[in-house]
Amino acid sequence: MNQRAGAAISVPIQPIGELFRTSVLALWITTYGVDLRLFDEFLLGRLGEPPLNVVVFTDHRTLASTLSRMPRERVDTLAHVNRRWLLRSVRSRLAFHPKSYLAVTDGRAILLVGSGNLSSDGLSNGHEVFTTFRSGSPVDDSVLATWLDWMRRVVEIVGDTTLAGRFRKLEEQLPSLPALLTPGPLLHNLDSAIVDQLIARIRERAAPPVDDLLLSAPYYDSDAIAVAMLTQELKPRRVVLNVSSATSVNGTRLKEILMRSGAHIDVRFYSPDDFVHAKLVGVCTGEDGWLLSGSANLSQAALVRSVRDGGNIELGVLTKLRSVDLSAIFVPRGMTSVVRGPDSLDALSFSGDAEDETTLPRVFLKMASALSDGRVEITTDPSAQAGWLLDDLNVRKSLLLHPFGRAITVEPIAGRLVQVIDADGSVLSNRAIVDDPVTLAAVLNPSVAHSESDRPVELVTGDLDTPLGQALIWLHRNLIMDASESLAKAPTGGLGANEAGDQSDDDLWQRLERDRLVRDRRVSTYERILARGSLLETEPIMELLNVLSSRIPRLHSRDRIAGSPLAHIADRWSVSKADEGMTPRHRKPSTRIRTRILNLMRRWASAQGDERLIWVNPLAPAVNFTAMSIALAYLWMEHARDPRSFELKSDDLNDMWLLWLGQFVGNGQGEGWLSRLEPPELERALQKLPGWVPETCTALCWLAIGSGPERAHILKWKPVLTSALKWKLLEATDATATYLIEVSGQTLTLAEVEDRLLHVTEFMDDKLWCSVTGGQLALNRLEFKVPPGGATRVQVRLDVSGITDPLLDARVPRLIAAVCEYRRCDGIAVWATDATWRVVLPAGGRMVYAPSPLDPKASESVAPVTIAAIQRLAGSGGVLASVFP
Amino acid sequence: MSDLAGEAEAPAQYVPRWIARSFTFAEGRDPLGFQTTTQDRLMPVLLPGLLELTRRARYFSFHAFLLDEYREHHLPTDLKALSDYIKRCEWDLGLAIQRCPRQCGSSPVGARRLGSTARGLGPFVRDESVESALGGYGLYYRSPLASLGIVAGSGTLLGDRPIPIDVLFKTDRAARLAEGFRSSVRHTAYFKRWMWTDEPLPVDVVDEYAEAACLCRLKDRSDERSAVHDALFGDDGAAASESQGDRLVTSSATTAALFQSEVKQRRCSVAHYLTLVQAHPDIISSEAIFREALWQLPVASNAIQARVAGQWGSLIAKDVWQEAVCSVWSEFCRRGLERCRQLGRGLTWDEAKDVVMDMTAGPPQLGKEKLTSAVSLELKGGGFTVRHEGKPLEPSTVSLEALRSFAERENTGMSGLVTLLELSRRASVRSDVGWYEGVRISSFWQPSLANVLSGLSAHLDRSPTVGESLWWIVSNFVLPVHERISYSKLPEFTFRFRWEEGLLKFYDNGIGRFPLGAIRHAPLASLTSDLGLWQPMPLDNRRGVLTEEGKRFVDGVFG
Repeated sequence: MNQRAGAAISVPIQPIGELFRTSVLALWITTYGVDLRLFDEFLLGRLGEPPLNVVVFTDHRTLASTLSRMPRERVDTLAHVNRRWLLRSVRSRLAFHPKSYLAVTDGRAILLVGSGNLSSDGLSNGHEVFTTFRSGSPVDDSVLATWLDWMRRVVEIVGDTTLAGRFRKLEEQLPSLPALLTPGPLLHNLDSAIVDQLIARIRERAAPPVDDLLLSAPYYDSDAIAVAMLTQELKPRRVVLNVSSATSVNGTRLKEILMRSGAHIDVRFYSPDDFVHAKLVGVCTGEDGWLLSGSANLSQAALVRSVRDGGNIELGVLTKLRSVDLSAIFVPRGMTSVVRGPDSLDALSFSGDAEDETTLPRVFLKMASALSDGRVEITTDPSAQAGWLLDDLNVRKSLLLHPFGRAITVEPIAGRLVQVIDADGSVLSNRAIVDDPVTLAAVLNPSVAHSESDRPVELVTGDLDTPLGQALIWLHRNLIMDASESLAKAPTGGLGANEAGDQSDDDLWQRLERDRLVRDRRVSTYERILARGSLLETEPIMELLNVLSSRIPRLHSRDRIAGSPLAHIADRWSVSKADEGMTPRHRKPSTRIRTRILNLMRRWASAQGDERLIWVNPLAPAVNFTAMSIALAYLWMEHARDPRSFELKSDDLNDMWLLWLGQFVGNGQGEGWLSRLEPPELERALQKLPGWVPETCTALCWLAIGSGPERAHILKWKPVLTSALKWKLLEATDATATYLIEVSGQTLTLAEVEDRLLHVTEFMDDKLWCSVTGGQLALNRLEFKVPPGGATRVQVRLDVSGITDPLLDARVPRLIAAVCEYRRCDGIAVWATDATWRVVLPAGGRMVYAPSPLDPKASESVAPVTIAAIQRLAGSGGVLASVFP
Repeated sequence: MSDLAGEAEAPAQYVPRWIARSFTFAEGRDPLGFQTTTQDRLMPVLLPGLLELTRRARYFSFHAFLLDEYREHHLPTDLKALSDYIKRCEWDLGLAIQRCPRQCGSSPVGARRLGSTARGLGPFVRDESVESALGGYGLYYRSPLASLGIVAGSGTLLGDRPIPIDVLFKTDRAARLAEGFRSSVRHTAYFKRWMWTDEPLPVDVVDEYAEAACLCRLKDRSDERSAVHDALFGDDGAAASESQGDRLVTSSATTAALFQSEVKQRRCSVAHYLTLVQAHPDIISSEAIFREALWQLPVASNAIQARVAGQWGSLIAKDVWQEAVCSVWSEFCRRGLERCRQLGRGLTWDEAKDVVMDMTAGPPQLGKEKLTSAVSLELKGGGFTVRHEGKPLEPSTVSLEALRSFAERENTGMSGLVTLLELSRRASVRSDVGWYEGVRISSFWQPSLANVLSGLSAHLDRSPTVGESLWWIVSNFVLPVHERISYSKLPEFTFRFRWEEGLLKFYDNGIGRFPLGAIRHAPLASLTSDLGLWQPMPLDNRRGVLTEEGKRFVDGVFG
């Protein structure tokens, strides 16, 4: 447990990457302050196309203050607010202060609860903390259930039907959650004060006095009453106070309270002296530790009062951990703390109540909504009165009064930012952004789910409706399969006159390309996949499986599949087959779709050698390969279901797999991606490759060669399979066999699968091999002959015609590499059939070149030549002259 | 503890985690989107197919030769292998160029990586020219060669399948280009053997290769030079489509017409450049003189030349407008940051306006309440002078380049405003076709110069003060544009200012000027020199004189 806690502390979180993803269907946020432009211009753009259920709750005072400063010239920057997403301010006696972010993707949810507002500081640049919960485990689900219950009550506080409708939608979108039976780790103060809940939980396990009380928050109440209450109730032997010079508290008063408590006082100043916005309360007694984190500052309004008693609305998380782990959590990344005496607190001063900075207008304009005829309906508290007008900063219109506090303008009003004024023009209310109900509904429930523009160039609209099209779209939108495509979409930028002075300033252009690629939003998918150790946590792969499984019972997180997507596919498929019966409906696929899809998959395969992928992630090709392998495994299942309806033929699937596998492991005439890695990267790549990849590879390879294809076909696969075997990517498991039984309809055992693959790797047909390889390399004739007598280190002799200068012909290294792969030899002689030259490579020795058999001027390579070196030459188009003096 | 109580707190793995930055701070090179107007909108119209760093003509034949050899040798059909091959060959050529027996001083692709390698006695280790994929070819010559119809890039459809690597089109032009370089180096040991090895290169091999392959030797290779000339200024005609058959299908009728128009435009722009060399021999070495020459109304021999001259004139005018806005921007950022620091918070809308009004203090100082139209009238009437670098300067009489330089050096909002007003006055007399084509080109971020000038005219009709005119510039071309551009660049954080919670917050993230976009001064000079269209004057290599071939080229284009 402690190891996990320690690891979690050291791993930072990037909320933007976690939450704002293309697969999000619903995003609900509660925040004190909101950076409207950042959200509209950047964060919202990271989400996918509709359907989107996005709602942001913010504090009424803060929003009123922001909107009151907005001049009419800037109102157009609010274009998306209350059109594409819903903004609601929450009015309470004090502040609406909770910071929580719920993102729902297809069947799963992630909830972040912490200290960061919806702003650049809150999500990226500031010193903030968040706790993450993901649906699928009892603890996570209980927190999600608590949050949902709390949110229901917040929705009720706002009391707005547009919002309520969206909340219903959210409930549908969330995975099913358990009923709430007991208080969970998520704390709120709608009913009782957070400090009361904290103390009660601790007292259940340990009676005061406690050993340590650790505190950190940017804001206290002026007289440190909340701290006084904590010390009185917990009676700590020591208080550790983490502060910066910006901490808002009456320092002298705080010192008095702490001295009076009798505790040893340990004051630590953050270094560097940055503003730390995280709010943390830690308690230690013996080996037990508790940590309260979240939105609550060390103030009465936040901590000591419930909402009923006039407190803020706050949200927190109570975590149990070992006391020794606690203090490290209080120090932000990249900072340290410096111990000072209690008198250092005197320098701190209370800088006013940050949560009550604005004097509110007397009328609360709760909501404004456009009607179909252009008039605007408003709801106010108190209800609108005769003589009031609605002003959109350009024109003002009279209001017609209706029951229940509603009022409607007598004429259309075009502006999107409105406020209530009286007949004299005096402002009576806060400003509100007008809802556009038609657009809001269209975004929530569109007829078309995704933009047509975000698709590979090969595909057309109709292709997207098929499972195959959907799978390819998912891959395209979440992974960078082709770096060129990503760069082509990026703006071209410009070149400054003073930057263009010298063509040799190559770094500039490289940086430009790299910067464009690393900014691609899909880069985060790689980080997320590689950050986790197993499939259980590799959410992007789970998303892909869900996309692929659109026709079969959905994969919920609770159904996590014990590490084998292959087993899952097979299992789900057999269920689906039983449900449907065996009478699938046929439809005739178009040949043109097939061509387009194959072109796309070929392009992606060939793009895996692009060096620029390293800028995306050093292991990007491995991730792409992993995703493609599971996609192909699923597509085989679709093919098996109804070959006549499926867009691709079995040969197509095999060709694609040959291409992808060859790019990854090598194809006998050149290195694969794995071979090109330096040892540390290779070790990392093999370590990071999910454990289920070999069984998936094995299944796909068996499908290519398992059912007794012709000998030429086996020969084609032999070098790739041999390479795959070398990299330990051929390992059959029970899941492999189960899957193959479902797809092939054959009765198979694990041993039969393995035997068949080994048979292919050992397959020999010299005549056929010579014919095929000769054709590939445009060589007239190839023939195996008995190796030279007495040369024990030369196992194979090959005679060849069609090459005049073997040292300068790039086909020769490719030929030697292919022979060695085929014959699994490391010593070879290649002779010209017309006896004009010979090249001999004895195992472990120097290569010899003789212009003719009797020529005494035979030359030797400068050093021993290995087969690996020949493979490298072959892969890079090199020639043998490189190894001779 | 009971099980129920055990669920009351989250276990240890649910500890809160500190956030890590998602945004990285960077200055950003084009904060108002002016460079992109030049690079992505104007230059492709004015001089299609040539990039700013497409500097040396011989690289066209060299890269065509490389692609041809790659195919001839049946090398692997994947981009990685092609990339390695090109980068290796570029390294070798770089060595040769640096050891040019004529000590021509040409700078090869990959000069930075080559460093002082070539100064050694050899043998020279083999390496790659540039780290980036496809080397200097990918960075500087691939796109031009594709535009010129010489190279079919990877992904081009052959039948219904995309080709995996770049290849030459099967045209006479492409074949002649490759053969041009090949015939120059065919006799060398490098070509016969060393090109294909990765052994260290002996010094005599490099020197022999340098003698034949250095960039400066193109002048002596008339066939090769003619092939490069044809690649840049020729087309494949009707015969090409027949010869391509079902191999590489390049074009529909529309793209063929587009190709033809690009060739024509390229010829016109280069011919116009040569006429300027004839009139102003030192434009080959001075960008300032080049700019001024481009602005001046040409004594055009015919309508074609008048049109292209007008187009280039509009480019120069756009740059003067950019410089004027840049001065406004620069002072606005300086003052805004200072004001924010004083207040300890961002600025309200009115405070931002006050910052702009303070900019009327100059220099030049004209008085906050002075009417802009009055300044305009004074410029028109003559006699309006300002102090610049300790001396009087009369904006309406100095050259346009001097006016641009005034805005750049003063670096104040008022110098920007005066420059804009004077530019507007001078532009009012331009009415030729090419000018109108150029000034109507806008970008995604900034309106066209035509729109700016007509907007200014409408603005002046409202009798604004100079302070109000500065605010007009800031509120239309600075404030909203910079925010939109910076948001588009996130997660790279390039903001100099942004609105946060209703306040304009300034960032100390680079508050200096941003540069002009490059206008192909250097490529025009070097490519036309390489093609033998002009030569340096005797005893003065900073001035150029047209060769007979250059004169023939101009006559051929303009008649």
